[in-house]
Amino acid sequence: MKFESQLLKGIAPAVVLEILSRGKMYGYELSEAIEQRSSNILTLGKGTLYPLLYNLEAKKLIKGKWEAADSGRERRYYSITGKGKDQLARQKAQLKELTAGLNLIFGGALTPA
Amino acid sequence: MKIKIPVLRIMMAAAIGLAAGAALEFAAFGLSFPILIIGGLLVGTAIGFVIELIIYWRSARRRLAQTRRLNLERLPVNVADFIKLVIKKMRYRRKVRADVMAELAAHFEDALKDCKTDEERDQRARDLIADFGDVKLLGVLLRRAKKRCRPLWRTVVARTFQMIGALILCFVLYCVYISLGKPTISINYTEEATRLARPVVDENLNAAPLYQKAIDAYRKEARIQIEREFAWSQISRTSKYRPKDPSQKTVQTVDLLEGISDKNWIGNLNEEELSLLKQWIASNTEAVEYFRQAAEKPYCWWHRRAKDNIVIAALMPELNSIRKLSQLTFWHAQLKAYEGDTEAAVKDILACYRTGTHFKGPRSLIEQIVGIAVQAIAVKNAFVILHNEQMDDVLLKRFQDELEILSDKDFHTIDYTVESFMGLDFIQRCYTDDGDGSGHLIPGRIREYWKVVEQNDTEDDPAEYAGSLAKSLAASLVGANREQMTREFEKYYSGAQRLAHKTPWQLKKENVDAELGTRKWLDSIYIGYWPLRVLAPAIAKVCELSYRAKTQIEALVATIAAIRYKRAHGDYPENLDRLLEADLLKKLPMDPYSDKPLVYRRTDNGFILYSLGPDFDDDGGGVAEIAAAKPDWFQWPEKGDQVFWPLGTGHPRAEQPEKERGKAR
Repeated sequence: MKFESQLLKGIAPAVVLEILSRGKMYGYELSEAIEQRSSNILTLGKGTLYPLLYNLEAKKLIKGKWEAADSGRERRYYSITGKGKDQLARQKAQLKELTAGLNLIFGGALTPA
Repeated sequence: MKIKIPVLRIMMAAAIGLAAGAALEFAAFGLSFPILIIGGLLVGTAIGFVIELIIYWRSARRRLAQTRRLNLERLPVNVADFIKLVIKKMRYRRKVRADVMAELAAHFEDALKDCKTDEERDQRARDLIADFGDVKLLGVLLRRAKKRCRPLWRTVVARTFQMIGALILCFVLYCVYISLGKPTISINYTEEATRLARPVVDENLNAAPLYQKAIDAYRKEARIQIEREFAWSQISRTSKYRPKDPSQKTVQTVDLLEGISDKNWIGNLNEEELSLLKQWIASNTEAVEYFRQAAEKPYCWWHRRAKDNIVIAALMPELNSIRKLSQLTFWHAQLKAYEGDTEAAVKDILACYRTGTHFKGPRSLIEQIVGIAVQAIAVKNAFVILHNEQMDDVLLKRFQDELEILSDKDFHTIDYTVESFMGLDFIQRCYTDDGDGSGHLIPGRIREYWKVVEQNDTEDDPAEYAGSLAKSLAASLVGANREQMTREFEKYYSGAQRLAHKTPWQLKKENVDAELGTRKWLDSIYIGYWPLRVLAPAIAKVCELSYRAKTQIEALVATIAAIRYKRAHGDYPENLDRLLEADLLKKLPMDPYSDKPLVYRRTDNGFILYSLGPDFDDDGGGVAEIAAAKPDWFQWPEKGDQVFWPLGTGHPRAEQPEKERGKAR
């Protein structure tokens, strides 16, 4: 499902941080993980992915490091930092509050069946 | 702290630039213009930075090419092209772009690795490329994001260099702005100077045409050989006149007047010198006559020629000739007196004195100084003739009366009006006029102005032109604006005029050292007022000259009155007041170095009349050694008193019996 870009815009950083909190990944791997773990509900455009990763890196929420892979090509692995974990915790709390509030408004219609 | 090699290279380039700037500044301005040092530092830094950029760019290209080959060779052509385009649009540092390219290549490689057929691979590649979106937008987003990743110090360095670049650009634009201005020349100061010197328009009252006739009729004197002793240390080692032995005398061929310059009285010349002098005077009878006629005119103005009407470049070729004609007339006077025709001698002396008045008042400083000099020498010769020859009572009285009239009518303090025109003319020719009194200095105009002043018509070679333009630009950058410069010039000249109205004694009482004070003030003012330092005339000594000239003629009048008193009463007066009481003197001669009358004292041999001189001390009539050896009332010695009478030592010859004076011939 294609969501409104503004709707996804706010939660994309939280999604990336959540995925990376479970282990380091490189760009393609991260993109696939988001799709798989959201059962293809959420997709992050490739044109958004790398700018997002670099912005998170600039804010010191994640850090990147080049590591050699088996194929001989180096890949840049991203991992969450302590600051990123704190930020993730804050955003998860906010999203929880938001979800609860929206559920109340929409009368539980937002909860998946 | 380890300093990276690129930073070291930039620092080295900056140091070279600094050294070059300092060398240029020292050569051009003698370490008083910091602008070239700062400029050299900036240029050196910029050059070092540019070189470093070139080195980095070349090595990054090599790395990038290498990286490109490694990253993209395994990808489809359209994917490789897409990635290259994104990287190109990103427009950022090479290393960062190489990293991004590697990441994108890795992403595509991972995405395409499971494709089994080429068609599937191509389709998948196209889908992925479409998913990435607009190339330009992606490049912009990647650049912004990567910029946020750079460390703070890199941001500071980047911003600093951007600021320096902006400053350099502003500096260049400012240089272009100040170079493009044009002056507005609204006043012809050369004509103004002529108008000031010409109180009437009737050319029949102008002495200049007659002076010109005298100049045209003038015949140069012969040359003679003289023996001279020079102070050994004053002769340069390369001079052909330097003898091998310090005690040796040198023989030189010089102009007659130069050869007899140390002999104040015609009676001291040897036969050859006297003969040559008489021949020379005889050949210049016409010149002397024109000179006398010119002196009788009430006014004198010259129609000055100046290239582009620049007042400071106005030619005054007559000044040197007037000096020579004055010398001719002085020797003519002495010859007449020597031959017994004291009346003709007095006429010549008065003619010379009147000539001096023609060059005083609102004129250039050099003209005024020439006028004072001619009058001073006229008075000096009058003293010499009085000392050596006797005049009858009628002639003495007439001489004194004429001198008193001339003295009362003539006295001018130094006038700086025309001198101020030079500063104002410089301003109107070298500054823009922004309409409200403001304006800036124009570099190219400075160069043209000085070429005219120096009468330099030669074409500059390119290197010389560039050098002089750079100097002019530097001078313009630090120069004060038009309003400030005008104000400082006016302040200087009005201050000079105020000082000119004060006697040396008044200045001493006010504790004003005009010369030192002026020099200190000029040295201390902001370097941007450099035109004032260059164009400002001397003040202190020049102002004193006018007071000395006045004192000299008053001393001469008092001396004549004393001689007349002796003839009437049998002895010299006890004091100068007796001359007033006897109605032989209208006013006492004043000493500018005490603001009191000159010191007069009756002596065994006659009387002594003197001024305290520039040291303001009464030495009882004692003169400095140099003054005793060569009395010159125009160049008063700094120490000792200035004695007007008696001349040298001994009794004045004018009071000796006639038969004794006749023995000298």
